[in-house]
Amino acid sequence: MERRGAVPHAPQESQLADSVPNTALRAARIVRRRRVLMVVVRRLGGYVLSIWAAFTVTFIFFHLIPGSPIDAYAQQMENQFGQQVPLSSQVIAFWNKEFGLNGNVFEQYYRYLTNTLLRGNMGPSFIAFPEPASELIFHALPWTVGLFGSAVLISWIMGLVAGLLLAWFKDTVVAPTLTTLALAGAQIPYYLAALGLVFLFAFILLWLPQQGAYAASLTPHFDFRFIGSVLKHSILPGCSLVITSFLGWAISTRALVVSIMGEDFLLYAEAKGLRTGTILRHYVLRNAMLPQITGLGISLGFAVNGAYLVSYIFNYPGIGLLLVNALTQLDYNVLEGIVLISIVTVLTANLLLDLCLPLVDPRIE
Amino acid sequence: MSGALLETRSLSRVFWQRRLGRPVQVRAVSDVNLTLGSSGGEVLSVVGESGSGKSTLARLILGLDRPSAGNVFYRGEDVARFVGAKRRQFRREVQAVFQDPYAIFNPFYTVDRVLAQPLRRFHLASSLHEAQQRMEDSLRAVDLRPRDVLGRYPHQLSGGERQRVMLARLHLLRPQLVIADEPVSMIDAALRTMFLNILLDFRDAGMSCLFITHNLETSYYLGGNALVLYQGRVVERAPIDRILHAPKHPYTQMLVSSIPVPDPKKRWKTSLPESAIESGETVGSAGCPFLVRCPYAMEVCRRQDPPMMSVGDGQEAACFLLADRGGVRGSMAPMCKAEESG
Amino acid sequence: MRSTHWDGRLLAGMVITGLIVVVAASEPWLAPFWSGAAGPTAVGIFASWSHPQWAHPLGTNQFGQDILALTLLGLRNSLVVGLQAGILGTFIGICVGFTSGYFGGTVVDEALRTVTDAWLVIPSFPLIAVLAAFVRNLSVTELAIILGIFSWAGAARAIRAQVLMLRSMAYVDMARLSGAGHIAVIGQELLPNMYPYLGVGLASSIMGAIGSLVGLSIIGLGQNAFSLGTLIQYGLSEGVLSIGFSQIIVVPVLILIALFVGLNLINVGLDVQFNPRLKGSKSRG
Repeated sequence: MERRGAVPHAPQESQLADSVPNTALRAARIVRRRRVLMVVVRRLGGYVLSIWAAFTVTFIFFHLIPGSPIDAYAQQMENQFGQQVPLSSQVIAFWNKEFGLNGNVFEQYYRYLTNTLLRGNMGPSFIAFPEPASELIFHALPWTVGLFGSAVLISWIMGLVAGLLLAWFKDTVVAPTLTTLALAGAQIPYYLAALGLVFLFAFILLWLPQQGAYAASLTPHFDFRFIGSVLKHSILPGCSLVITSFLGWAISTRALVVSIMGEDFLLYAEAKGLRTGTILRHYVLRNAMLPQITGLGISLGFAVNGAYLVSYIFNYPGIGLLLVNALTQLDYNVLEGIVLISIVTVLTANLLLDLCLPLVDPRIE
Repeated sequence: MSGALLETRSLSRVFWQRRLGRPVQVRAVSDVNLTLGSSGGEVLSVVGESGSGKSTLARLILGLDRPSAGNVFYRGEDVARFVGAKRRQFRREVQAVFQDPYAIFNPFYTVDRVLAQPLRRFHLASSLHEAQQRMEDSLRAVDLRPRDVLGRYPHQLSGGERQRVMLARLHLLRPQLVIADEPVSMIDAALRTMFLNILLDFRDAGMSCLFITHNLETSYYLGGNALVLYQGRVVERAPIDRILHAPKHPYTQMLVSSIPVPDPKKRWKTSLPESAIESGETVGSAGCPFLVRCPYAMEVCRRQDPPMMSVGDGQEAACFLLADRGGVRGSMAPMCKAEESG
Repeated sequence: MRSTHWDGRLLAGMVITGLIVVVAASEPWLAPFWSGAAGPTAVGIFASWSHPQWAHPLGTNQFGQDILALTLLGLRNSLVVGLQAGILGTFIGICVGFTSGYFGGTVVDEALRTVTDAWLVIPSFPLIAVLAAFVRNLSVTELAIILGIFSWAGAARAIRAQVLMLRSMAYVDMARLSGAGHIAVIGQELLPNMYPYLGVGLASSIMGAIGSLVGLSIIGLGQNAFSLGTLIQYGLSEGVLSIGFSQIIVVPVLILIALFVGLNLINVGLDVQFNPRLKGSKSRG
C-alpha cells in the first residue's frame, strides 16, 4: 500500500549521491557488495539443501513402494517368455548388486546419494537393458525441453500482449466477453486440448501429422527437410500447451495491467501529455512484466513436468513418453530418474529466478 | 507494587521482518514502564504519531500479543500467566475500544454478537430474557434505540452508531479498565465530544482508562497523566497540562507546536527547525532515537541513549538537554492555550 | 457481503456443473435405457461396432457394449472419485492452512509452510502414476485417497494467506476480549468468512483430482475406477479416430472440457462475488 503512487522506476539514488561524502559512499558500496555475496551464498546453500531433501524423499518413496525391482524383473521375464523363470540365489545377488540393493538401508542410501547426486548415475534401465537409465532420460530431455520450453515462452509472450489489449479495451463490449471466455478455458488440462487438436487437425482436416517428432522415413540430420519435419511435427503438441496456458497468462496480465492503470503515476503521465504508446511501453508494461517474469521462471521449471500426457498422446519422444513406457514395464531406475530430474529442474529454475530477479526489479536491493 | 491496577515493566516487543532474505529487528515497543493506580477512575493518555508503537502497546496490555521482554501486571499479577478462571476474569475486567468502528464487527454476524457474546461467555445473564434486557438498557444508556441496532448487520449502521455500540458494550460489561486505542480518530467532531463525555461518565463511575491517541487535545479533555511515545519508547511523561504548557522533550515540543491554532490570522506552523544531522548520514543504533529529527542534536546524543530525567512536578523526559538543568535551548513556547483547543 | 446481485460467471458455472452432476447422479436410472438390465459393462449383449442409431445413440464398441451407457458410467465414476479426493484434499488443506495462518510467523507456521512449498514443487503426476503402477489392484477408494493426498497443497497455501489476512482483523481481537478461545475464534470468527474460499479450494482440488484420475486412466493405470479416461484410453488403443468411431474419444473429451469450464467459472465467480478487495477496486475504477 505504501508503494502506491510512487513510480517504481524513478531514479532516486543519483540525487542522493551528491550530498553524501565520497568515502561514505564507497564504504556503503563495499558493505552492499558483501551483503549481496552473502545472499548468493545463502541461496546456493538453500538450493543444495533442497536438492538433498528432494533426493532423500524420493529414495524413501521408492523404498516404501511394495515389491522390489527384482520381483518386477521376474514379472517382466514371465510376461515376455510366457513361463516362470526360476531365479537362482546367484542371479538374485547379481541383480541386487546391479540395482544397488545389497547391504542395509544406510549403505544403499549412501551409494544412492553418491551415484545419483555426484555421478548422475541412476543405474541400468529395464526397457532398454543394459543401457543406463540416465542415458534414456538425457536422450528424451532435449525433445521435451525444446518443445515445451518454447511453447511456454510463446504462450507467455502471446498472453502478455493479449492481456495488455484486454485491459486497455476493458470498457468496450468485446474485451470483457473475451476475458470471460479466457477465464473459463484457462484450467482445461493440456491433454484434453491435445486430444481435441489431434481429432480436428490430424483426422478431420488431415493437415498435420498425428504423432512422432519427425517423419519416420527420415534419419536425424541437420538439413532443411529434417528440421522442417521436426517443426511440422511439433506444431500440434506445442499448440496443445500454448492454447490453454496462454489464456492463463492473458488473465493474469490483464489483472495486473488493470490495477496499474488505476495508479496515480499513470494519471500523471497522461497529464504530462505522453503518447499512449509511450505510456503503455514505459509505464504499464514495465511494471506488469516483473511479476510475470517470476511466473515465467516457475513455468519454465515445470516445462519438463507439465505435459507428460501430451508427449504420450502424440508419441513424442520426450520425458512423458519415456515415463509411460517405464510405467508399463515397472522400470524403477528410469522412473526414479524422471522424478529426480523433474524436481531438479523446478528447483534450478527457482534458484536462477531468485538470483536474477534483483537485476530487473529495482524494489529488491 | 501490588497497589497498581495496571503496570508494565520494561515492556518490549520486537518484530522480525525479512529484508533481502535476512531477518531484521523492528522494535515496536521498547522498554516501556507505565502505571495506572488502583484508586479507580484514573486516566492515562499515551500520545504518539502513527507508527510509534501505540497499538502494539495496547495489544500487549490486553494480552492479545506476547511481549518479547518485560511484563504486564494486572493487580500485581503477570497477565501472561493467567489461565482458566483468572484469565476469564481478566478478560471481563479489562476491555478495549478500537479505532476502526467497522473492523471490530464480524461481517458474518449481526451487531448483537459483540454484546451477546461476552454476556454468554462471562455468564453475566441468567436467562435469555435478562440478557436481552441488559443489552437494551446498555444501548439506551448511549442514546441508541435498541430496535434500530439489534438484529442489524454492521454495514447497516453508521460509523458513529457502531462506535456507540462499543460504548454500550463497556456499559454492559462495566470493566475496571478500558484500553481505548484511538477511539475517536475515525468519527466526526460532534460525536467525538459525546463519546468523550460518555467515557468521562464511566470514569466518574470508577472505570480507569488507558487512552491511546495521536491527538493532544482529546487527551487534554480527558485529563490525567500522559506519556509521549516515540518509536516505541517513552520520551516524556507528565500530567497532561504540563505536557501542553511546558513540554520538555524536543519531540513533545514539536507535537505541541503543530496543534492547529483556531485563529485565521495566524498561520499554522508548517516548518520546523531543521535537523542538526545531515541527510544521508548514517546513524548508529546506539544513540537517541529522535536524533535524526532533533534540531538540538548534540555529540552525546549520537553515542548514548538518553535516560529518563526528572524535572519536578511529576514530569520527566528522556533528553540530554535536561542534564544540565538549563531547560530547553531556544524558545519554543507552546503555540496554543489549552482553553482554545477544547 | 450479502449482495443480492449474483455474478454471471458464478451462475453460468453452477448451471454447467449442476447439469453434469445431475446427469452423472442419475446414471443408475439412465444407463439401463441403452445398456439393458445387465449394466453398461456387460460384454457381448449387442452387436460389435454398430454405428449410432436410435437404440444406441453413440453406437457400440468391439465388445458390443453401449458407448453412451459406458460414457455415463465413466462420468459418474470420475465425479465420485474427484469429489472424494477433492474433499479429502480440501480437508487436509484446511487443517494445514488454518494452523499455519493462525499461528503465522511462529515455528509451527514455518514448518508447515516449508512442507507445503515442498509439496508444491514435487511433480505429483509421476509419483501418483508410480504408486498406481506398482501397487496393483488399487481400489477406487484407495485411488481417491492417493489423489486427495497429492492435491492439498494449493488449497493450504491459499487458505493460509486468507487466514493471515483475516486474523489481523479487529473482530478477532474483539472475540478474544469477549472470552473466546483459539478454537472458538477459528470456528466462529474465521471459518464463516472463509466459506467462499473453501468453495474455491474444493473446486480446485476436484479439478486437480479429476485431471490426474483421467490422466492415469489414459495411460492405462488405476483400471478399477472406470473413468472417462478409461474410455479415451480404449479409444486411443483401438485407433477409433481412424475407423469412424471418434465419438468414443470426442464425447468424453467434450464432457470433461465442459466440466472444467464449469468448475473454473465457479472458482472465478466465487472470488469476484465474495472478495471485498475486488469489490472495492470495482467501485473505484
